[in-house]
Amino acid sequence: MFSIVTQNPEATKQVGKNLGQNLSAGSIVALTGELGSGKTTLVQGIGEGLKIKSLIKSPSFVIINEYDGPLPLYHFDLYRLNNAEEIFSLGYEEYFYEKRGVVVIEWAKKIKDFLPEEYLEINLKIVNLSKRKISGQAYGASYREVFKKMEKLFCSC
Amino acid sequence: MFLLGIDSSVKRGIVCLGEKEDIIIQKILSPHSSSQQLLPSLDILLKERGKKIRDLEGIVVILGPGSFTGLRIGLSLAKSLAFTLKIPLAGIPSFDVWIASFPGQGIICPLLQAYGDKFYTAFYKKDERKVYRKSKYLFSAWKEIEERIRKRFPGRKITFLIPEEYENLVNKIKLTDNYSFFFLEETAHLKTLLKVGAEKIESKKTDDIFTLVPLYISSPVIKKRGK
Repeated sequence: MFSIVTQNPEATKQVGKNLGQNLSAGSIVALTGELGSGKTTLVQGIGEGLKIKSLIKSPSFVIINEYDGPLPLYHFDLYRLNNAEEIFSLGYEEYFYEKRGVVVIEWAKKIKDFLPEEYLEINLKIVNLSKRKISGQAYGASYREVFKKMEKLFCSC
Repeated sequence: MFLLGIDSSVKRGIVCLGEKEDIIIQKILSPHSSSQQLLPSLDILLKERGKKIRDLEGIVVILGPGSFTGLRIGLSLAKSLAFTLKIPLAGIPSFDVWIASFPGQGIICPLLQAYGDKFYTAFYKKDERKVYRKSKYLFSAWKEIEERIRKRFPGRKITFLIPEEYENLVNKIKLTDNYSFFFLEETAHLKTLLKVGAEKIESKKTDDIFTLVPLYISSPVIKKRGK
């Protein structure tokens, strides 16, 4: 379990960056949180942490965006998904199980039943206009390691 | 017959232009880039041979199994070209091509590396006249494949077909006296693709542009997990 309150979008991005630096090929991050809670901001941070050069936008209209980098980032946004089964028309299995890059899923709750056994769940909550509460839950040993590394980082500040 | 051949089912997609089984020119795409490179590559190939897209007389495309997005891209291109140019289209399962380029006979098991340590495969029997598919298409781990062989073909010789680029797969397989391996070479694969496609087109067994779909092998992940 991991929890932190960020004061502004910049800080949310910083959390994402730290997370990104600790992810590896095949990592799966499931994001939940209402509209405007900073999911895309966090993903932009993850992209920075993965040293991805291009600008990460909300992929709401295309569902999946691929970003090239030392470790590619596959950015899913399931906002537009009407039901979980629609995910099968996207070939999501290859992204999840080929372990080529990092998979980040916005609105991951929509496909809860189809997530693999091991993944990282991150929830963003709106505290006020700029404050966000970011909490994470690790499923699987490798993801608990990721949190351990991140906790060290945030406890020191 | 001047043909366009497309195989976007594998990690490194291929486009080629050819006459029946003679490849005139081919381009192997860099891994995982079919979506970006397929169409520009075709343009380059045509220009290099001083040909126009209108010179194409038929299109042969691999239907799968293989990369989800790759197959969508390859088939979309093949179908839209066939539709606009009003030329015949032949879609072919990749294992049909693999088996046609294997000179031997017997029980044959093509192995295509999928994701998550699994393979796309199926069992075939080939005699001097015909090829029969003896199982449905499978998406299985090696253990399940071995189990199936034990049950269905006890004591029989099995030939595994493996694309050259995945040669090292053999190291993961526990060898027995009954297993033999045949490695498929990329150029031979393309030649056979054109040959099989040309035969299909010449015998008027072409595919309907509107109903042709990729050969996707359903994955067992579809089972919902309990909460």
